[in-house]
Amino acid sequence: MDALTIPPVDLGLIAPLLVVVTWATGLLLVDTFFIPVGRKKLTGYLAIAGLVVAGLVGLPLWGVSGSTFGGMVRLDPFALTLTWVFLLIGILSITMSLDYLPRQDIEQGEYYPLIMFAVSGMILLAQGADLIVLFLGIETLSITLYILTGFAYPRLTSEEAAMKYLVLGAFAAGFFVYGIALIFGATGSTRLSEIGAYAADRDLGDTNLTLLLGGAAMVLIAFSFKAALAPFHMWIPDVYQGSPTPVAAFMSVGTKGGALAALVRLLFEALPTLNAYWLPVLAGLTALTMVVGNLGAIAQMDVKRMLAYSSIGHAGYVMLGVMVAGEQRGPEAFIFYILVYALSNLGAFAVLIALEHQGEEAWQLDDFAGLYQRQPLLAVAMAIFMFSLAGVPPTAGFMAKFYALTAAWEGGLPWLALVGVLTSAIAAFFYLRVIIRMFMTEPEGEPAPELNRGLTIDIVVAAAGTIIIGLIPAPIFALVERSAVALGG
Amino acid sequence: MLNAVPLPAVLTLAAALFCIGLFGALSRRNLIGVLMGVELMLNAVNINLVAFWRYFEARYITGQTFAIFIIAVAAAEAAVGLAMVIAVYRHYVTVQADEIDRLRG
Amino acid sequence: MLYPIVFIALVASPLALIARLPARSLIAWGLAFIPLTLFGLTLTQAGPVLAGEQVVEEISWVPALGLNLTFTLDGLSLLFALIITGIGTLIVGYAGHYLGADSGLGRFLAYLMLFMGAMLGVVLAGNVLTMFVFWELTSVTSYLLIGYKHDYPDARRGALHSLLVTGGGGLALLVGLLLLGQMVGSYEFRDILAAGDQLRAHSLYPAAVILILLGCFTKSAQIPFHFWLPGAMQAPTPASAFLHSATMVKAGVYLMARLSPALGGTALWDVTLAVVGGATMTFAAIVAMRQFDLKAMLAYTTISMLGALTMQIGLGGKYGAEGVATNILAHALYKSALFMLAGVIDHECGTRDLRRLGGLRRYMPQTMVITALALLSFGGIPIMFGFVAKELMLEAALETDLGATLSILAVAAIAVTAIAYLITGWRLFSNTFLGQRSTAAMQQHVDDPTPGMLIGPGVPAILSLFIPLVLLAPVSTLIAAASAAIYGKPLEVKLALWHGVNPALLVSLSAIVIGVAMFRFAEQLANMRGWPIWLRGDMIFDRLIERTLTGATALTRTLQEGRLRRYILITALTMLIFVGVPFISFGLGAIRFDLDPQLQFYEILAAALIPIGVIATIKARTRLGAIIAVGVVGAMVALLFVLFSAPDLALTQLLIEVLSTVFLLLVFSVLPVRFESFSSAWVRQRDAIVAIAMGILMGGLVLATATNDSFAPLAPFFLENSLDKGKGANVVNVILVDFRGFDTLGEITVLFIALLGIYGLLRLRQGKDDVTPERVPTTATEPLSEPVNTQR
Repeated sequence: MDALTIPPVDLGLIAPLLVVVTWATGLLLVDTFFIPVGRKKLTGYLAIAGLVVAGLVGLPLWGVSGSTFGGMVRLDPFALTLTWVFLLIGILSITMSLDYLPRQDIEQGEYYPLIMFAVSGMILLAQGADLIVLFLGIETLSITLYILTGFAYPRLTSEEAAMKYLVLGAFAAGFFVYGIALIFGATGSTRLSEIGAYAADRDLGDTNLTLLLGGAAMVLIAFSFKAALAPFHMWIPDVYQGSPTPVAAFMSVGTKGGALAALVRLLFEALPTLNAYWLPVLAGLTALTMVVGNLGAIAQMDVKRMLAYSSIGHAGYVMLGVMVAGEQRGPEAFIFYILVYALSNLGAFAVLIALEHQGEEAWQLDDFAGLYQRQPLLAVAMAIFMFSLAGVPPTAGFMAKFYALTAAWEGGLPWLALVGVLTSAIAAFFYLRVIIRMFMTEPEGEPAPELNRGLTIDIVVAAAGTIIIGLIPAPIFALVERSAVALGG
Repeated sequence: MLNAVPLPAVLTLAAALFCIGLFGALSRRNLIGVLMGVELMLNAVNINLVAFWRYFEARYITGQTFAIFIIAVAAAEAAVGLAMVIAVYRHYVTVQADEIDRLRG
Repeated sequence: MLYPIVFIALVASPLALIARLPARSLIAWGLAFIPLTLFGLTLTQAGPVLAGEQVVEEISWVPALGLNLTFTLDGLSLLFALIITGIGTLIVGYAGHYLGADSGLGRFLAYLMLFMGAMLGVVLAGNVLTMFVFWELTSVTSYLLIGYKHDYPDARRGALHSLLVTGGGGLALLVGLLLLGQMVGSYEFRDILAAGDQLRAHSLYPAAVILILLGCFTKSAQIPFHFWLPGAMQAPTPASAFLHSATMVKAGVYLMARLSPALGGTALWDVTLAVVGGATMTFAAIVAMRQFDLKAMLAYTTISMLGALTMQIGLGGKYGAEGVATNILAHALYKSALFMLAGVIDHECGTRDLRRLGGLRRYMPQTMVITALALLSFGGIPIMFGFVAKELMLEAALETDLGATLSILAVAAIAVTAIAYLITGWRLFSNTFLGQRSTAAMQQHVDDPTPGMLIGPGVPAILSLFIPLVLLAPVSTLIAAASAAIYGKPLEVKLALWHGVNPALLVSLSAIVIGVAMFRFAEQLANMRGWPIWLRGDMIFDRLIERTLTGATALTRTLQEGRLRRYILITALTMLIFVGVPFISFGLGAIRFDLDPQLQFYEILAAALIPIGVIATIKARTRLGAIIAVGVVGAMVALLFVLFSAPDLALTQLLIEVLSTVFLLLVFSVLPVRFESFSSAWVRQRDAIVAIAMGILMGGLVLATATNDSFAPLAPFFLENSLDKGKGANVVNVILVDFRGFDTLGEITVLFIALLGIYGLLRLRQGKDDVTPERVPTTATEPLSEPVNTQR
């Protein structure tokens, strides 16, 4: 290096991210000064518009691959497709919040920009090619979520959830940065590609590699924490149950998607040569995650908590794709699973919201009794989501699970695929139990569910998506196929 | 300094700090105590980063920059955390971590 | 033409919703034209199939996963497709009468059509994965049909059983099919069927067979999974007639028959099928004989016949294949008729309990005649189609290659079953139509139903008589094509009522004689009670579920006890293992520690004060003490930064430290004084051990790598260039702004969000703090430094 050059900056490559962040900031000002209390729905609509614009801005970037800011941020089809998925998650979450917030009397304008900031954190995680950027992404996402978790203030559980989430999250962040520091000490860089190049030149006996491994282990733990892999899943049930339902919905798919997207990059750009070490560890964690998540869900009579445990189980299935992301099919399975899981799970949470009245928690299994008689369409939609989460064809959940299991099988982890199938059999039990409650029991004076426009749109979109992707998955497969090609550089 | 204090000494110091912070997070019952413990852990990371930077990588200053980020982010986290402790206290009338266990099972 | 056959039913299903309009029974018969059309369409494809060819159509669906929408029509598929569409036509029309008073008829028929499409998909699929998708779709739609109405007391339990058993079996099947695909390298049925020798020699063959059989046995209600089928009978009768006798439950039999040329021929396959099938057949026949509920009776006879079909596939040979095909058709005809008749009786009398029925011969003569026809076929009485089928079953047992023992056992089992069928049939008939009308049923006006409702059961019942008398030649062609597919080779089939006097006929006739002789003891047999527990699969299953539930609950209650610090501890422990293992296995040897003697006193001071401060923070008994200690640590860290020539960092650290202290003080002012409470002594020791272990690990880890000297210090580059290129005098600032502009932007966003959050958290609380704390914080008046002794 003879002369120091300021790295060239190509803002185009982070256009969707920029749009989300600036829009959110602007929206905050607009909300504070122009939107009167009681009409905060308008803020929500504007937030949706912002996410849509961000998605559109990304359209011309399809097929572009490049780095900017000195290689700290990467844009490739993998990141772009995930960005779209994240934007969709944001849009659906905001849509289901529009009626929920006023109904629960917790409507505050800043809620919507906060969701947008969280989305920006997820996008950052998908695009980050430097440990510092990943740290920022995680923190953007986490701090936002701490606040959103505590948003349902009058509810005690919301406070408790936020507090637990924050303390454990800060704890995990401590590990994360310590790990980064060690990696930095070992390799002298925080850039993923440079770490990868450094590791590729060393043998396993090298002491610096030991330090790198120690650091990597700590970073992996932090990601496992965010993505809810057992035994770092402890926060999930408590936090999901306590937080406002749309926030739990957003979290269940958002943190998973973001953290695991970053994990894919970390594993296959920085640590591919060390996979002899991390693969067995992650495979063990994944197996444990599938078992713990699904066994835990069996015991739940509270559907929201059941969905929380189920989201732990699904983290395991997503991991199947992540671990073999070195093969073409791995990242494909990962993106596809996240998309499908987002649709089915957000839909299921939307149904929960429809049942939830002000101040009441209508999440017990018994609250679903006879839903079919009370509100047939809602029951059928919920059945579709449950079937999809259980992986029953012809729903999209089957395709996703099948894809993930095939990826793991062909990627050299057949035993893990078998664990996946076995735990799916366990999982069928608690998903189908909800269906039985809805279809086979007489209603016992439960209040009629409230279906407003936002919720209806959400549920219909999610249900239609779940069915259509299940029946005609080819277009989506084509998309994820092209998104996965660029990985592994 | 660079020649005076060997790197291992600094790193050991950082490790010690990290672990005492961890002990605090584990053994304090008070929520604020737990948060303080976590803060100490983050301080340890900063010492590490700066030491590594000073000894190995003074050219890029990545270490220092990152340390600044950590300081800032840790402060942000602590601030949110403390605000939350107040909120929890108003409701639960306790800041004892173990007494806040309505969500379980 | 195969696509339309599958998809017309699926796509047309919403059309059925018009049946919510008035004149429902008429509309239902109109809708029956849809399956009738499909029946006709299938027949148009029959020509080449009956000549021994296959109709194949293929489009790629998800090429990435090897999922092709291949549809194949061969003899076996044709037989099933005709049964599905033919019976389907009658069921749709019948349902219009049965549920005519119900506004939900449209929805019911829509599900029924959907189910029909799925079932057609199963039997026409030429790709195992496509078949699996339709297979599960039949389960899904069947749940919708079961859930339509439930007048069974045990409804939920039964539905849970059927969901779990078929759901779990489906997964086993999926894995088995995947194994099959991996072994052959293709998911197409034609490739799999062509690779029989390769499959049987493969090391994964037993695993694949067991998994596939699990799927088939659960779907087709074989012992020990039979218990879900009677439980599923709370579905409306048209659904029971269609799903639980003629079609869905036969999907397992279909798949076994379809795969037997590839997987059969080994002891594992043949003997398993013969034994499980035979046991199911006999056991269920005996249970059926003792039922008092019409539908339960029919449900158990269905299980019995499914066992018989499974057994015949296992017995194999020419007669086995023929017997399977013939019995499928015969059973579909008489059993759907009987189910629909049970529905008619239920509909007219308001009950289907045999103890409350009786004497209906005077009121429902037409119904009685049709019932008699169906029952004669069911009982295997000569000149009925059921007789022809039973003869073939006996031939299969007599001619099997599985050895004399199994052959004799099979013949005996068939004879016992035949006797039990006769007694069952007699009980059904005599308790319903003969004797006196019971008082319970007297209150209602009882009559033959409208002719429209009798078309449904009438057609298959009459066919049971007509096929052997008139239609034997065309049906033989169909059976020949179907059994060729099961046998794997072309077959010459000539169905006949009279084969001359042979062993099969003798066994058959003696069974009839014994059966009829036992008619007078029928009710005594039925009233003998008590089955040993190990025969009650449903009870065992219930206990299994219960155990699993309590186990899982106990597990989560222990692991997830709701306390934050437990979660932290578990995280830390796992961490310890994670980092410890690579460290111990790779790098223990490299630790070295050499303190340089040239330390300055302020360096030592800083280094010593940090741990002291930290320990003070941890041990502090007063809040002020803790705050001061934290402040000291922060200040010393800042001093360390200065020593490391990082003044900007030191400044930032100091600034933040001051801010945190102020903030902490503010927070403490609203919190109670009580601060110092620690865990109990042993808990603290445990925590200390974890922390010390972590310390040793961390320390060792970094020490192990202190040899690193691969980076040369090159700070001058930044220093020289920052003013020039970055237009700034403070190096760190320049880097933050210019060289790392992106992360700085991110960092600012984080801070911004935090600010927003705090604002929100505190502002939200102002107005809405409606909960009065039980303990009012007294801090405002108390000095911060006051030590308090509220050790818990």
